[in-house]
Amino acid sequence: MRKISQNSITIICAIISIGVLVGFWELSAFLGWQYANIFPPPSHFLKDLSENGFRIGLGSQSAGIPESIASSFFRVFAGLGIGFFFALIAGMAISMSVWVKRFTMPVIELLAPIAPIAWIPLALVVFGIGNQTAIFIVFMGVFFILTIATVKAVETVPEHLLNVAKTLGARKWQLWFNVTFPYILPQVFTILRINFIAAWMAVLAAEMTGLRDGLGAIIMTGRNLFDNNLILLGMSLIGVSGFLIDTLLRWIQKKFFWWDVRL
Amino acid sequence: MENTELKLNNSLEGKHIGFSRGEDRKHVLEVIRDTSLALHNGEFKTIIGPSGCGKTTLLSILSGLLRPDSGVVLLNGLPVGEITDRVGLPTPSDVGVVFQDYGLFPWRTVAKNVAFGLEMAKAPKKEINKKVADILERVGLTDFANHYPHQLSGGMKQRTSIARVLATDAQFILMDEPFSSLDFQTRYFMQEFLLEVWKKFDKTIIYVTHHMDEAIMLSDTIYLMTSRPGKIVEEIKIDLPRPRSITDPKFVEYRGHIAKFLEKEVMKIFHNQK
Repeated sequence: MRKISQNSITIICAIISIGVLVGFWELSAFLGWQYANIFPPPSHFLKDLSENGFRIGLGSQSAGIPESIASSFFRVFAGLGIGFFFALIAGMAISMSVWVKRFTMPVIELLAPIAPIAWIPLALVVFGIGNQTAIFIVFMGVFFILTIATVKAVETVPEHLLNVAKTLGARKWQLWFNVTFPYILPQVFTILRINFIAAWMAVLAAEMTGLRDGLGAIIMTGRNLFDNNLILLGMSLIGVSGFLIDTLLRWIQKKFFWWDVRL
Repeated sequence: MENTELKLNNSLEGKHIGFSRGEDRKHVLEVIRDTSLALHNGEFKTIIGPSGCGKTTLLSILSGLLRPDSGVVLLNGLPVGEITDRVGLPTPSDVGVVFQDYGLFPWRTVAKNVAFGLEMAKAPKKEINKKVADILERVGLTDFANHYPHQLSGGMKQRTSIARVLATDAQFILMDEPFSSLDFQTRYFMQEFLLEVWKKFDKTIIYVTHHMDEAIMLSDTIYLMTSRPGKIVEEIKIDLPRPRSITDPKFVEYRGHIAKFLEKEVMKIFHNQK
């Protein structure tokens, strides 16, 4: 008999647990256990959606589901990508000199705990309503934390690995590019993945407060139209999309930043 | 440079090396005191001494990773600087180091690890590929070229790090307890492998260990080093034909002599602690 792998058991259990949740939700609405128009189950809001031709909102202001998902995804990935890139550069630059580190780290550590959502009002004034604002907010949400993570990661590069590279002829810049940088990359990417959730929430908050499109805007439209089908649709899409992005990030980590340096 | 006549005169010497480390002037720990040693072309020498006697520090000084507080390191008769951005001596093509914990880069394949030194020297890609393939072939790693370090056994890892040093054409190979994290069986095979490499590639090796049998099995000359402060106090020529056997009466005699020395040194550490 073929043995079922641990992995497939995990997946099966995940499907069951989500299935039970959705099933209970549908059943309770079907039996009238709760107000189905406050918590409309998927069968309701999906039907409602198809009746509206998969568009949200009214008339010229309406937007398609794919466009909404795409604009939220674009904002998150652009912000994460830019934040990751500049945090690596900033973190490595700061690590190069003790004096730069002493002067810059207090400022960065002071700015890091400011919630990305808190930047929304300022960003709206500076960048106006649009992608720039959303990307800026995601960027602020990850940049400082990732910079700190990079600086800390550089401190963990073991002396012996640097010595090996030195005896093989690596000089200052070569050491940075061939030892320090590849060594810290997986660590910093892990921090990026953890901070994705914060970035994701920041974009949605921005879309709910200022921007007129994206997944967050679906919920706001629903609220304005007293349409709970839309609200629940928005919430479900946010959940599923967030899960998909996290899966994608995990895949990227496995594929490109797989080495476990702390062997 | 593949000039045999030049190579004949190659030497790496440490003259009256002294080294201390400490946070401030009050807490200085003298690691090495007035130690001299010399390596000439084609020799295989071993440094043996109790744990923590400064053997690793001595190798770091010889490889240029550390600058001695006193004394001088001479490469082919010329004093050597510290590896810095300005002073580039000794180069990897002079001195290579093999470390106990392999020091392989986990994100590089075996072939890429072996290519590291050549890449740092900015050799043309074609030349690197050719050289790496050749070295891998000669040390029996061709089939593992595209493996990553975590996919290798301990012996294979150390084989890779030896190949990496061979790729830079280092004449002098400094080895810091390279086989001490390997199990008994693997260690035996790796010793055979090392002797093969030594002969086939015509290298000069200095080998640090605290295993008596390993030292006698491998080397032409054994330096005995005292416990802290470390100092080379005796040089034993091993006058045995290869391959050697640990049951050879002369082998046993050498071992007895070294054992007595080590015992004395360990007792010294023990008494100092009290």
